[in-house]
Amino acid sequence: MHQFQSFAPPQPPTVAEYAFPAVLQFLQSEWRRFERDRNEWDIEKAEMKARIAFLEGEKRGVDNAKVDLMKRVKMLEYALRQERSKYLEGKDTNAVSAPSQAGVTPLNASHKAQHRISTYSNPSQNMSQVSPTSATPGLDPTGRAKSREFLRICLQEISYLTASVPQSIAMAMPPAPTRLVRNESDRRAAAAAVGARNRKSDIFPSNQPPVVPPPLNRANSVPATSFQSISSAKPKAHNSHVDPSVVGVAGGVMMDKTEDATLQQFADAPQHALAPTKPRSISVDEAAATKSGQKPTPHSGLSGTKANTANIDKDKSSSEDEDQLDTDEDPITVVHAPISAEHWQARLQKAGQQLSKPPKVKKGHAKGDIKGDDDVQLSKDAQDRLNKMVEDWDKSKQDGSGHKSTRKKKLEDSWVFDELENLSISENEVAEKTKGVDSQPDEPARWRPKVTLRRHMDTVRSIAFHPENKSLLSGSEDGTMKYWNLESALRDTKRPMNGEIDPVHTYRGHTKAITAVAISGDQNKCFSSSMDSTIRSYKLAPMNKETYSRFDPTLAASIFVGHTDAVWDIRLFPLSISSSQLLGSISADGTLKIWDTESKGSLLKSSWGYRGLGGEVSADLTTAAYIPTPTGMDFCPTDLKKMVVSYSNSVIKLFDIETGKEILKFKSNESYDGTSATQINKVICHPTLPLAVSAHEDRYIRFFDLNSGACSFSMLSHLDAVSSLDIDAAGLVLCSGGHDSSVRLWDIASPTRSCLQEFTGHRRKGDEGVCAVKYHPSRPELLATGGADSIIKVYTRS
Amino acid sequence: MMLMEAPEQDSFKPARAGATLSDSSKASSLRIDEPATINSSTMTHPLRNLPGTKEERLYQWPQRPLDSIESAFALREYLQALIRQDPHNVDLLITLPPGQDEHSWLYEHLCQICLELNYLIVHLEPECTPEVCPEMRAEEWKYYCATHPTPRECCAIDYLTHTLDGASALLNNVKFFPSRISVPESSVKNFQSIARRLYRIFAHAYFHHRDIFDAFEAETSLYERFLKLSRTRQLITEKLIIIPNLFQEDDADHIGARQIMTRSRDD
Repeated sequence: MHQFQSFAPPQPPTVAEYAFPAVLQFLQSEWRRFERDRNEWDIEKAEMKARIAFLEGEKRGVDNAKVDLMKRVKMLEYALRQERSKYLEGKDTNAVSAPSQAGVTPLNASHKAQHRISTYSNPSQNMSQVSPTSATPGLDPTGRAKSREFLRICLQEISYLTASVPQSIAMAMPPAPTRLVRNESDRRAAAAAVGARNRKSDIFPSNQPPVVPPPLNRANSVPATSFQSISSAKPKAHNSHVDPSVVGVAGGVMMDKTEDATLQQFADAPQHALAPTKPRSISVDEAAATKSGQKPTPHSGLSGTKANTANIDKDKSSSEDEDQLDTDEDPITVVHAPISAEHWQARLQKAGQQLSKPPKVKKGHAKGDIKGDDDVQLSKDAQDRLNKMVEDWDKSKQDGSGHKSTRKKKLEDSWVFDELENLSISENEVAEKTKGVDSQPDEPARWRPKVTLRRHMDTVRSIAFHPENKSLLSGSEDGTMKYWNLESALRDTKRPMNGEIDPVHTYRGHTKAITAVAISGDQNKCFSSSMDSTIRSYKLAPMNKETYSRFDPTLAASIFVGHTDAVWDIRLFPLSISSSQLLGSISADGTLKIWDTESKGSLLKSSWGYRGLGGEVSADLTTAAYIPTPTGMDFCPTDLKKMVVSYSNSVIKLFDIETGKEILKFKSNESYDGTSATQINKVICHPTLPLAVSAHEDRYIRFFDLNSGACSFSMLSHLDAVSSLDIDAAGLVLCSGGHDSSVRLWDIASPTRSCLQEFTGHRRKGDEGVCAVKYHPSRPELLATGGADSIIKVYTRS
Repeated sequence: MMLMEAPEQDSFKPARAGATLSDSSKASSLRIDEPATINSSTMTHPLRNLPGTKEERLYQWPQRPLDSIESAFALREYLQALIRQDPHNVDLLITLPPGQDEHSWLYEHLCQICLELNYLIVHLEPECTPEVCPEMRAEEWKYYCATHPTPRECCAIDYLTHTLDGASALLNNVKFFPSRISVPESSVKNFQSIARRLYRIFAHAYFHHRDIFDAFEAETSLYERFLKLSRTRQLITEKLIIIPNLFQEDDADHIGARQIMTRSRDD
């Protein structure tokens, strides 16, 4: 009890200690402490984060450096291997004489190709210098002699290949497509030329001498820069490198340019092991500068011209030139630089109007409505595409700036700013720049070769895409027609473009060269015409058929007999009516025939000659000894009752399909001189506009209005005869192939029909180069060309 | 590394740019005055068939000496021109033009033979159906088709087309034949296997579709060319030549000496 009582008294003080204010105080202090800790943790966390970011950056830099160095190591290994094998082979042959300087020793000094040989030999010699010296110094002379021998073979091969375009043609340069021209004097001349052409667009310049100087200068500037860029071994070179001539090259000869860039990279690489990515940034700077230089668009503020301006800043000595360049350029290039979607649309419409005098209203013709819809659809599509591009661009810009700010922070944090870091920056910037260039709104993505098909034994004369599938039909002078499935080849990104692809099926049946092929998707049939005067139709082989499978009798042909001389072209009617489709054919016997491809009875529907149905008996047979033969034809998608036919006397006629009566004769033979050297090789119709385009043997491409028959535009377009034409499904770009072995893309919407891209398509055999060009009708990312080198190339753009 | 990756047909572009330099300086004075001259000089004999050309006027261009042909396909063009001139002058056709590479010449010949064999198959196709010729035979010999992963017993028409497609594929393969001015040593052996298989196409046609063979031979002399080429270049061993000797007077009784044999494997 006592105890209990004595125990009780101390209780009140304890209670007092836990008084409310004390508790409050305690809690507050605890809370403060906790807050302080938390602050510390946050600080620590932030520090850690910064550390992580730094380490990550470092790692990325090291990775990039590693990749780069691995490339270098591999290259050196390869060179070393080559040298070793060569050394082992030639061990017993005594070193004849120590080769002289590794500089340029022309092998056949008198050879006219000496220039290009020496140009070419620079990089390879740089390359070969590295390996022997570093690996086996004692064996140097033999090694060099061997590599010299190897190089000699290479050069022989190269000079052989470059001979594919005869000098005579290489000299006769093309008609200054405005973008190809960049030199000061060139530009003025080009401006004059363009002006002249615009003024004379309705008159054929047959009696005026073609305007030649600009291309000549262009030819001059090309090698000069390739020389320069190849031989410029100093890393600093890119600062002082933007001179007008460089800017002048890249536009039209884009392939050459990129080639140069790689070459340069290649040549510089071994010498700059310490500053590894300098060469790359040089080349891309240049590319960017050239791109923007050649087309200063109103977007240049945002778009990839950063490089350009940067270069101007850096390079004070040439900044004046640059300014001059910019101002000079405005009048020319303003036409290919759409400011906004509306502007662009307006331009498109204007082009449409310009091409077609407001079409006469055809009563009871439902097609008019469809056409109107098409036009709306067209501009809508265009606008969509433009919007998307602008979006892409904005995104990429944001990405770019985001990168930059983080990187800046990183740089501030990091106390070591080493070369590796530097390296990663320059690569990122490169990526940024190229991205910027690619998404430039008025610059559609470039076509790049993707798949090469080599199975034909002779010139590929004609190609046709399946309307929906990724498959291709090709007809060749070897008398066979091959059907190719491109599905897997296009999907596979790793496959090199020389991948060996076998055709799904080889159609044999003609006894002479095939001249044209066509696919009807609705009927699942394909057609071929030949110099043996027949047309054959086959069932399309299934896409998954094995190449070496069993004989399939169901593919068998039906033969359209009727022509009495070589059949030169066939064309399917754009629509199939009740599962049958009309087929038009033209032949050297002078006639055009329309066939019903499904009929059980008589396949031939109608046939007429130069004068149209019923017109010729009275006129031709009595008077004219020379009856013009048809050379090309096409149905008019804008007016399905009509078709255009071109004749060997360079006349184009518009016929009514039903009656076979001549409706209109185009004024297309102004430059005709009575020989086949000025004839028309091909004529096609625009998918949505009343417009026909003809390809001439005398290197012209001409545009005609279907309603009036007047020539609305005429341009010298290739170095040699134009062999083939096609218009993409959207109707915006014309693709032409010429016997100068080049493929060119033309902007239909622009008033000057400027050249959007040019690439070398095929090697020449005889006087033939590119023989067929074709867009995929429903997949705008596919383009194919066939050429005299027996090869088919499929291009993609992304 | 980059050297290896560079596609063969693109590697010459920068060099071409150089070529333009050397010529344009020469041409500059000439061209401005008379642009039409170049036009007409290249147009006088364009070596191509323009659309609309009549059949009898096809390929009407003069035969050019080999060394004046500039293109990358000089040998092929030369050979095709010779054949168009006279397909029956076999000895001239198979003679190696002076200064040319033997193997390249052989390569072009084999390509050309493949090309022309297409037309033989066109003629055979209506008659040589799987029902008529269910096996690939030439007299007592029976062949298995080697284009498949494991040699297979194809009917004759399949064998013919497969063999021809296979040969075309091989001749067009850039791994084996990367260049047209020289043939890698390692690829030369392919000529023999190609020739051996192509020979069987002739053999089948000869023994089973004699009239077609004769008509085709009268028109093209293709077999004679092929045989002489193969003999002079040792592409086919004599014992594999089973078609009786057609081109010499002293035609021994080759036929009496055959044995009944069946070859089970192609290679």
